[in-house]
Formats: sequence, structure tokens, C-alpha cells
Amino acid sequence: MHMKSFLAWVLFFCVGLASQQALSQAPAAPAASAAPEAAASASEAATVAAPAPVAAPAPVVAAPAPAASAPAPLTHPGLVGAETLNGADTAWMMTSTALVLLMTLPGIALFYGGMVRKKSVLNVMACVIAICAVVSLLWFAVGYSIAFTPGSGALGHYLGGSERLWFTGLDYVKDAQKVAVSHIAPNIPESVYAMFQLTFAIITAALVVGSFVERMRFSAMLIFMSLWTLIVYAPIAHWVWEPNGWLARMGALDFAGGSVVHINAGIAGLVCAYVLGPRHGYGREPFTPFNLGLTMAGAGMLWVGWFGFNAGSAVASDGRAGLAMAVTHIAAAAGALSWMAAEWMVRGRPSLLGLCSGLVAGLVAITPAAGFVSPRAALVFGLVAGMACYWGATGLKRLLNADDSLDVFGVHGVGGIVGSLLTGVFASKAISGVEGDLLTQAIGAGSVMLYSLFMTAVALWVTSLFVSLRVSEASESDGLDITQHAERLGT
Amino acid sequence: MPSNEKIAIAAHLHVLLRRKTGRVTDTEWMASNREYAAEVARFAREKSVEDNHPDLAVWADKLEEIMATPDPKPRVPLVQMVSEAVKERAVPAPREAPPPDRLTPARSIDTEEEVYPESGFIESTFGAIFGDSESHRDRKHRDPNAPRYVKSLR
Repeated sequence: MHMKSFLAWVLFFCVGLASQQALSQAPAAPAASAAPEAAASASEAATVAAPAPVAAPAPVVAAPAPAASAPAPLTHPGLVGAETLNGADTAWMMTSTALVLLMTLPGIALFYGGMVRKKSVLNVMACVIAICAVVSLLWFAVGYSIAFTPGSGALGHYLGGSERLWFTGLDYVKDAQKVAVSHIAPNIPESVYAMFQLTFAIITAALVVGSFVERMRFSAMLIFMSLWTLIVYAPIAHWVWEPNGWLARMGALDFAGGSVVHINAGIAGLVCAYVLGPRHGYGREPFTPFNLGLTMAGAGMLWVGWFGFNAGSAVASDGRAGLAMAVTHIAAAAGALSWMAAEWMVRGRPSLLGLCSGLVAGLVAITPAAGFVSPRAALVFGLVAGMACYWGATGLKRLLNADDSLDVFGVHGVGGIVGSLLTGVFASKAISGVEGDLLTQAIGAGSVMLYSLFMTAVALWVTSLFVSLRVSEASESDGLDITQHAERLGT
Repeated sequence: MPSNEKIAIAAHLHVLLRRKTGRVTDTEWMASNREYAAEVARFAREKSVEDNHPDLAVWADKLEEIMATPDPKPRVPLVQMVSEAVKERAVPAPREAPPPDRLTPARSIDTEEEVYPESGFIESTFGAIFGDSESHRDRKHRDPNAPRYVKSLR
């Protein structure tokens, strides 16, 4: 029954792909050539101006004519000459893409896998890999176009257009030396930019897994994540990171995804936890983590990979990316120590899980601010986030009374909210060219929270029409490894 | 440490039970634990009747009798007594802190769950800066066997 539902999705996907191939006859859109201008926008893709040619004085011949007026900047994805691309930026963005993907595979897989009980470790890892695969295909099919094309008219403020549907675009024409670029990042190939953004979509969906581990049916998870990526993640990414998005136009600052990724995932996780209900034995039995060593290994990958997450969001290998890297590291360190101190005072001793959680909290908080704040401010981000997220994972969790199994809302949701609001306080015009505004940040965070809450619930409801969301009690008791995958850990 | 006599009687009864009934017993525990000794004696009497071994009953009585007598005070070597007396005169013994109340497990400030014993971070760090706080002095020792990972991982 569940296999049939999944096959129905696959069939729909293939029909769409085939029809798009049949209909797609128009040549590539005419490209605007020449160097793109730097655009200091509120979006996370701050472009870098290609160096303007310096007019050297001609000693003999007549002075060169003044340079022709610079071509209008791109407003849509299109083809440009390959010579306009920046090799260093491209190399760094490809590296960042790999780093961010490493954060998910195997960073999140290990981080979460070590925290669940032994009988569900493989299921968690399977969920992460499956999400990577499903989101990847959906991204190039539909998601990237919805998120990162400007759309048209007023609707374009909320949803992208169809220019990049069904794996189109991302062209590389060797003979003509033309490469497709995104208007948001004209200094790098669009294929690289789309891949980079894909890794963000993947990790956001993977983060949500932590809220419903040990009880969600695998087929339901696949369907839910497919819907969620398209109807929740992609529109929110459009609002915040597409220059035509309404939050970007309003001036909400989110350098690398404090709201798009973390608040979004946190709220979605909370909704999943409420809808699916608590695990059997929750609140009565201890749910001992399988192996916190795996969790630490995953946390280490997250810390290092986050350099790609934040510094890569500069979409250039320049001073701003370097600053983003530094503030990311400072915030992670401060977050780890801050959580550790809070836990030491409350529980009487520090823990490895606390250190790992604290560093993630610091990283989450600095994410929206990485390209806007100074290192000194990053220290504040980390210290505040460590304490706030500790409360989020303990006191607030008890208040909310939801079995958010791995504290997705407590760490990512609370950390994202803290980081987004602090960005409004600490954003420096000298660094980024823009000033922060606390009210604007609050509106941005609140909008994302409300939309994610409502649409996640819709996605769960739609999923429940096809398959049961939760496994049976017996399956849950036996463990999802054996009941969903017929596999066991070796020892 | 049980007295030599207790161990001797327990050992003798252990051998008898082993030979005549096949039952294996713990000699040292028999000489230390009254309940265990009483149970072994009961078993020995039962077997003495069933299998017609009167000596089992005799030694069971001896065991019960010796277990009822209190252990003599342990003898402290003279050298040790002298050295302790010299030390006490040189350095007065520090006042000991009141023993921790282990009957009531401590609970976290913001939760009701039992938590692990303190590490001394507060006392060594904040105590030095701000002075000892009453809440930390009064904080009871926590039960190291308190359940963790119930309702929350962190």
C-alpha cells in the first residue's frame, strides 16, 4: 500500500519530466553580457563586482574612448560569457557545496544516529540519506525554480517562476563559451549556485527528522518531506533570498539561513512532534542514546561544514567570506562553553552531549548574522545562544510538552529566533552596507514561523491521506531498524 | 571482618553440607550475614531430618549460637595507636562537614528530577568570588543512580 503511494509520486515526477522535455524547444534566453555589478542586497547572496577594467593612459595613440555604459544587471537567470565568471569564487563555492553536503552526509546522520536508541539508529540514517536523494531530484525538478527565479507580478514576491522547472537551465555551451548564471550570483555558474542551494534544502529537511525519530513510518516520511520541501522550504527561501521576495524587499537580514533553515526546521519539527504524538514510554522510561561518540563525530562535521554554510553564503572568496568564517567559529566556541556552563550549574556536571549541543546552538545563532556582524558580536551570539538553547531543550521543552525527540525546536528553532533578533541589533553597516532593524527581523522570523507551522501541518495532513504517519505500537517497540528496513546494527 | 571462630564453624558446616547434601554455600558470607547464616542453618536441620544426618543439626546449632554473639572489638596494633596519638597532638583534626543527607535525593532548581552529585565548580569558582552561597552549602548530595534520559536527552 505504501509502496504504491510512493510509486505514484515517482510516476508523477517522470511524467512531468518527460512533458517538459517535449515542450522545451525555445533557445536559451539571450544573455546580458559583460561584468555584473556588485549588489549590496538584503539577500544572503551578496555578489562581488567583477573588477572594472582600468583605463591605462595611452601615450601615443588617441586616448581610448570612454567605456561603453555597463550593461544592465541580470534580473533573471540567463547565459553569460564564460570569461565573466570568477574562478576563485567558483572554486570556493564548489568547496562550500561539498562542505555543506558533508554536514548532512554523514554529519547529521551521525549526530542524530548517536542520540537515538539502538533499535532505530539505522532508520535515522536511512531517513537522512533518503531525504538527500528525494530532495535532490525535487530541487532540480521544481524547488530551485520556485525558490530562486523572480517569478512575475505580485505573485513573484511570494513564489518563483517556471524558468528553471524540470531540470532546465544550468547550461554550459562549450563552443560559444556561454554559461548559465543566476541573477543572484552572476560570478559563478548557475549549476554551482543551484547545487549550493540544494545542500541547504537537503539539510533543512534532514534537521526535521530529529523531531519524529523512532516512530514515523518511512514511506510517510518520504512523502511528507517531498511535500514539505516544495510547499514550505522553497517558498520561504524565495521570500528571504530572492531579491524579489517580500521579506528581502522589506529588508529582513538572513545571511545564511537563520530563518529559512533553522526557524523553519524547528517549527516544522515541533509540529511533527505534536501531530505524531510522543513515543511509547516517553516520560517514564529512559531513552538512552546509542552512542554519543557518533554524536560527537557528527557535531565535529557540523562545526567544520558550517564554514561552507556561512562563509559560502558570501558567494565569493573574499574578505566577507573570511569574516563569516571567523565569526562562525567564535560563535560555535562560545556556544559550547555557554551551554556547558549552564549545564554544569544546573545538573552539577558538564556532558559531551551538552558540549555538542552548545556548539550547534552557537552555529545556529550566528547563521543569519555571519556576513553582517563583527567577531566581538559573534561572541555575544554564541554566549546567549548557548544559554537560550539549553533552556529551549530543557525548561521550554517541558512547557511545550511535546516529544521533540532530539530537540530540533529547542536548538534550531530557539537558536534561529535568537540569532535573527540579535542580527537586528548587531548588524553593522560598515561590514555589510546594510543596517539591521529589530522590528523587521521580528516580522521576518514571525512570518516564517507562522507559515511553517501552518503549511507543515497541511503537509502532514495530506501525507496522512495516503499512508499512516506512525508505525504500529509493536513496530515501535521492536524498533524501526528491523520493522522498516529489516536490518540490525552489527553488535 | 567476622571472628575466626565464626569462620571456622561456617567452614565446617560448608564442608558437611557439600559432602552430605551436595549443597554449595558461601563460607565467608555465612560468617558475616545473619540472615544467610539462619537460612543455611534451617536447610541443614531440614536435611539432617530428611537424610538422617544428625551432625548437620549439631553444627547448625553451633552456627546459630556463634552468630548470636557480638564480634569482639578489633585489636589495634600498639604502633598504630602511638602514631595516631602523636599526630593528634601535632595537628588538630579538622572539623568535618556534616554528613550528607542521603535519604532525600536532591532535585534540580528548575525541575523536579533527581540530578547527579556536584562537581565542585560552583564552590571552587563562584564561591571564591562571591563567597559561599547558602543554597550551595545546603544543597543535598544527589543520588548518582538517578535516572537520566527520561523525558529529555539534555
